[in-house]
Amino acid sequence: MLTCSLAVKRPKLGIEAAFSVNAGETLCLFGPSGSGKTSLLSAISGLLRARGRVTWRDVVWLDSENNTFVPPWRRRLGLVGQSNLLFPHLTVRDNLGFGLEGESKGVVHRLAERLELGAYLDRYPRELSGGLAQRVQLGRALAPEPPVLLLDEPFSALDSVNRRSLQDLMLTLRQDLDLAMIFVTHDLAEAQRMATTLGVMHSGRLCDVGPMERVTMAPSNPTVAKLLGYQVLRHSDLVVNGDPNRMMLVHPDRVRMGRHPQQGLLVRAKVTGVEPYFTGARAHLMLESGRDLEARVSPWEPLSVGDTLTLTLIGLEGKEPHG
Amino acid sequence: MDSVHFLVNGEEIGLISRQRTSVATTHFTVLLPLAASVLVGLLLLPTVALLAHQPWTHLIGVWRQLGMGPLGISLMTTLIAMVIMTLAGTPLGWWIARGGRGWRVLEYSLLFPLLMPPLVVGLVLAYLLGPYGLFGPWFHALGISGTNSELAVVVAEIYEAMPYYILAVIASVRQVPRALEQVAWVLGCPPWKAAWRVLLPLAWPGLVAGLAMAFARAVGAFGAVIVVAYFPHTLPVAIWVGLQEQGIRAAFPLALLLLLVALPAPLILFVWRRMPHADL
Repeated sequence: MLTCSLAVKRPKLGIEAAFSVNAGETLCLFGPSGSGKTSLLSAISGLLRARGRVTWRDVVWLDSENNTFVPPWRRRLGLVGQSNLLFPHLTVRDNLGFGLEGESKGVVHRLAERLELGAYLDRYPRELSGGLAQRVQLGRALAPEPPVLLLDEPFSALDSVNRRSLQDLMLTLRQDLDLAMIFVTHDLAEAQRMATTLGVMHSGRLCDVGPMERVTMAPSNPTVAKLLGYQVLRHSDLVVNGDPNRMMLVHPDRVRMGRHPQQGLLVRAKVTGVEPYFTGARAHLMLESGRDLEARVSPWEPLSVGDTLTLTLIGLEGKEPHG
Repeated sequence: MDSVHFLVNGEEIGLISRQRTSVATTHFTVLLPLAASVLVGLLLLPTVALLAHQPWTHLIGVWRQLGMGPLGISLMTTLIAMVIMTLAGTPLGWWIARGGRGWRVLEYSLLFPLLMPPLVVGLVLAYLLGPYGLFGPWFHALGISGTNSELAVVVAEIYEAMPYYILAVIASVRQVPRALEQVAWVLGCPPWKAAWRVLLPLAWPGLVAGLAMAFARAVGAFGAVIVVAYFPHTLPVAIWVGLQEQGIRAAFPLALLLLLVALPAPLILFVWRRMPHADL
């Protein structure tokens, strides 16, 4: 198990995070750009000096209390970056074998087969497409068989088809290699696909971390909820009885047109705008209290601006959400 | 400074010529080449004209009579200076390029000897190394003369040439993304090994260009050298002496000899850097 409890003190963006990842698990760090995800990875790898404690199994990588610091080159980590981090002066073969000592032919050959890179071994990085380059980066990181793999938005620059196939590859590799992975992304869909554990970062702090389902369905505080796409409403906005200041979380995906009292809370709203969204639409609504609300609308539920209708907020019964 | 940038960052000229084809207007297709050829003509004409008026027998005669000694001194001292510059300047430039803010101050302080007129450098050195100077007595105690010796020549050449090399090292190291080295660290390479396996291969075209430039500076060093070491004559000093004592007929063949020694290395490098394979 990789256990981290880290703090980086900086004038601009300090970092504070505590979490652990088991072998075979993936912690996805999700958060907007500039929330400190990359810095956190750097602190784990030792590239950024941090205070706190980092341990892998019973090996201490960092313990600032006891002045223990294992430099990055002795931590046995794999690191996959955003892009363009292949060594431009080396062929794919030499990039793959870079982290190996001594005889590397066999390992490189097996990796190339596994990652379907066999045809590209003598190419240079500048001759590779984005998807291939990321495959090589992945292979280079995996070659020395590190027990921990850090991925820093590895697929962000790829088109959706390439991204999906590399995600699939990662999922099978995770099963086969029993890796502890930390996967940084600003794409929630990707985070949900890859994560067993989800961590949400905001301005340098790990605001919520837990099983992926729990964090996405019941975020522990309003900041995290907003980052996950929830809209934070008060009881007074919904015109329900109870403490008017109590907060409720409403996700655009969990708003259903019409009356379905057994599924959730009913509210009246007026349609103020409709815009296409994938095959359906995104509706901008105004509640009776004057509060705006956004909802996803299915293709079979035509709405037009000016309509007044009843909505069901799924899963809400006028109660406070988790936490 | 411009020339450092120019040599190290091989992209710039290529960019301009690529744009020219796309913005193909008559101004660019006709006037620019015309202006360029006039400029090149003006730059080369004096040398070519002088060369045309020198009979080969005279050239070789002067080389034999006056040139060989100074040539040997120049080559030997430059070689020693180059070795010292490479050994000391490469790590120094690396530290400055990769170090923090404190090192930045060092970078600016390098501009001092770079911008200081060579004559002034020579005066400072004469004061430092001379028999009544700061370090002169130490040398004297060791039985070495700090001025008018090969040692003085080497020191003067280093002062004139080394800042160029260090600035070239800084520029070419900065050109290599730090993240690449860090990837190597995480893959198990300690910093010195990462520098050897990643930084050096990516930065070396710039380093070699810097060395070529430093060589041209060192072999042609005159201002500082003549103040601190009139003897033994280096080639540039010999040119000066020849001009003083016998006029241009003696000086020009020596100048030509200096050109033959100083120019080829940087020129070949310049051409090589422009060739497609160097574009890594």
